[in-house]
Amino acid sequence: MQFRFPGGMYGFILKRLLLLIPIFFVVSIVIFLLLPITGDPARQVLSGQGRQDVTPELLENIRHQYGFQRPLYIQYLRYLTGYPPADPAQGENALVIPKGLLRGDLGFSYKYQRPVSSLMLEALPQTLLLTLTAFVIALAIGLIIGVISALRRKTWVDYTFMGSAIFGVSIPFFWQGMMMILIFVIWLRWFPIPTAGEHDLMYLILPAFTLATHETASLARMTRSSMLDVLRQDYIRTARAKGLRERAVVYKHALKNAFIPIATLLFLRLPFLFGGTVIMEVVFSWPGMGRLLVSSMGVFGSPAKDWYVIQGGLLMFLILAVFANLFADIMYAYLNPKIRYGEGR
Amino acid sequence: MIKISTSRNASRGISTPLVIIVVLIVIVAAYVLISRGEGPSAGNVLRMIQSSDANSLDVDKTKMDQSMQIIALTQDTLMTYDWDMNYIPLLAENWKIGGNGLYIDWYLRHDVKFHCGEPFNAAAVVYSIKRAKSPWSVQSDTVRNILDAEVLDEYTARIHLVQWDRWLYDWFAETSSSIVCPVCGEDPAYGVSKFCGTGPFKITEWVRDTRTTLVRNDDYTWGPEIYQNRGPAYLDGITIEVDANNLTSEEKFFRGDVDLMIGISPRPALIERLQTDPNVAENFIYPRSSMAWVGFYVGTLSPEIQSSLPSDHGTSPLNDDKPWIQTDGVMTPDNANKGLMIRKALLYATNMEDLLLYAWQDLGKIAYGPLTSVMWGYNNAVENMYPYDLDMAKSLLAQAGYPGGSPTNFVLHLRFYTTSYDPYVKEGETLKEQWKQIGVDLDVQVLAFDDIESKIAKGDYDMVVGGYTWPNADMLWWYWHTTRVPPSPNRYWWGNAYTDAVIDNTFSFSDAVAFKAIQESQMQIMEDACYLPIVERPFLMPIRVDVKGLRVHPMSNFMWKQLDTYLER
Repeated sequence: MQFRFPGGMYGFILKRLLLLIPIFFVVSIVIFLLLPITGDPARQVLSGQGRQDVTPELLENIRHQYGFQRPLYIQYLRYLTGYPPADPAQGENALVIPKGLLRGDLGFSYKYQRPVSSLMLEALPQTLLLTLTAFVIALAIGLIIGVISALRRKTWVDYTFMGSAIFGVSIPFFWQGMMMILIFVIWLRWFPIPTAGEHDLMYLILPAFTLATHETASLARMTRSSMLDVLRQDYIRTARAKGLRERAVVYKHALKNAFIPIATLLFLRLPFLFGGTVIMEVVFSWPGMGRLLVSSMGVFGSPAKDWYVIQGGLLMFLILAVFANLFADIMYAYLNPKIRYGEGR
Repeated sequence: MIKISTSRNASRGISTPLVIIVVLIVIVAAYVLISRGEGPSAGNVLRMIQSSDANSLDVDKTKMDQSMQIIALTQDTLMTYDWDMNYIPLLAENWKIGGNGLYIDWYLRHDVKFHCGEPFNAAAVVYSIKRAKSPWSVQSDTVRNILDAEVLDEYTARIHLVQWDRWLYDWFAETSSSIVCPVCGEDPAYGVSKFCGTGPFKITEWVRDTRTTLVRNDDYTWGPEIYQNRGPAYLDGITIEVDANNLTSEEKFFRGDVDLMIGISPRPALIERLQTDPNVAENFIYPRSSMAWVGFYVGTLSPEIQSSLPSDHGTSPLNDDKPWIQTDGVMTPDNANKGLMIRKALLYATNMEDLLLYAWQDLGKIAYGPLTSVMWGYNNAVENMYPYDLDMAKSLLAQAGYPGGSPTNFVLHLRFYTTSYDPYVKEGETLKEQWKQIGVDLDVQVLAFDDIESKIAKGDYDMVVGGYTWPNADMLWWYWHTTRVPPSPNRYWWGNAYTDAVIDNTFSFSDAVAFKAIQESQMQIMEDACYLPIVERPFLMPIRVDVKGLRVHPMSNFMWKQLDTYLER
């Protein structure tokens, strides 16, 4: 009996999800190998405890506690599956030995002395909130600016908006974030000082707007370009000739068709938005995954790298990026009836 | 007036999107302006801010400064120090050293209990000692000379020692030796989400890299006699906020959103602002037993260690190649040693006043030897060993085989590894300029801490930055004894049997013998030019004027209880 993928969108989604499996394995190996190739993991554990009185005996003790004395391929197997389990006879500490990625265990944080998955569960919603807020801002403002620019082509309005857009895609995130704090928090005092742990609306606005800047600018330029293409089409002229109001022509006919490539761009940019949260969360002390990741790289005090958190964070971002791409493809097909995945002629 | 055009001419007609933008901006602006208000209400809660967080609040799992300051507020030790670093009672009312230093009996207070309600007694002391001796404990090395602990009666505990260890005795006054609750200490979450102690404050919340919240322990009445108020504390509580961004943390302080900043770098602009702001208490610089230094890769004088090094272990022009020689019963380094000559040349070529000024904003005190001037046993003879003398420096370099050095003729190239901590980087830059005068080219590289540790382990360096905060001359053993060979904390790959024997004597039960040994070992270390001491680092802690009663201990925030502190708002 031959297996055939179901047709249409479901088949497409299924294929993409199955593709995730080899990607996941390759990435997990790369991420796993980051730890041993960047230095002695036992030393990093001790450094994370603020210890400078490191002796060979202590290093050996830590190696056995965390299972670092095992061959690399055993460590990877354990990282992935949790097998073999901790062996107290070898001095292995069950609390810190990984229980297996495939079983949902992302390891144990040396720094926080907690399972990495619990840290991620706390931080992920904050990152999602920041990203989605930035997404909505970029969509709303980018669309509006792009439409206005297209409708007011070659006027001062168009030049102003497009000039701002070029500026928006060019400025570095980090600098922009610091400037926003300097101008709106320190000088004008319009917003409260970014404070770790505070995540109500007032603390969300600045980082969300800053994060949205690049995407707003890209979206505005794309919208303008796409709108100009569509407005030149015959069916637009026909709609006007039929006596439709201009608002209807622009929003019901032009924008709806112009939106297809815009939507593709926007959803494909989601992974970049997630990546941008790393910088924004550090600059604005937003308690998300990006800040957790940077903190685990030894930025906020403890000099050592908290490797399981770094590995878990990188995996999380990968998963978010992959699903964002998948979502982009689905939305593209949904918006454009001409596109049907999995159907050949 | 908003005009919505119905014209078919698109370029004139549509202004609705513009209207939407304007309306959105107005709504947000209105919300912002309405919501903008004062900072959080302060009450009688001391609000602190620092750039990095503790990594654990279990005293046996961390040695980080940020952890120690919280543990000092929430837990107690058997004894403590007064303002002059003399021992005074805390959880122990009294103690007795017996058996020629082979045991210490502790006579405990009867009125103490842990935050969870468990009584404090001899069993808790024995439990804490056993816990500190666990293989996984960060204290295990420190307490290596503790043999065992036993309960003599409910409020008397005896600690048996392998041998007398005067630095271990000191340890009982340090926050690292805080007594752990025998019940809560067994909880796997202890120090992470489960907290307990006997201290004047209790931890109610610890949000990692964000905030720690403490509330007053109303049962606390056993504060040390250095405080006028023996407890409970006047403060209702303390919050410690973490903010790694200097821009925002300093703004919070100057706006009054926090009362106190810890762990700040001595930047000129910040110092000036602190000195001119009327809301900042005048005195914000405190002396501390802490030092910044640069360690040279000396190599080792011990044949045993030399033979144990891997064949690919690196070398440096600064490496020693000759053992010490004995002349008239006194051991000194062999003056024909080229590595020694180069190291001495570098010391002579260092202008300490300029280094202090440019790297540390003239804050702190020039350091001359391995110990700080406040430590018992400090030998002020080290202060005259290496005056600034470029001619002497050039002469020594020439003798070592590097003649004719000048700013236009580099004869020696050395590597200087530092972390990104600003004063350390400035040390490198300043030394680069100074040593240029004798023809030494310094390659200053900023690396991550772990990378520096790796390079030290492989001998792939010439010099590295370092710093310590230490209460006593015990650091001679930690940093200079041959058994402490790198990479931590002996960053010099230096050691010799003769100095080892002298350092061993610093543990002596006899104060006179120990004192003499401490003095001699300082001279030997500096005679061999093992490292460049730079500054006795001050402790910068700006406080707002409405914080009263706060006095900083010589051991800085590692010892505070905040019992006399109150707020005048």
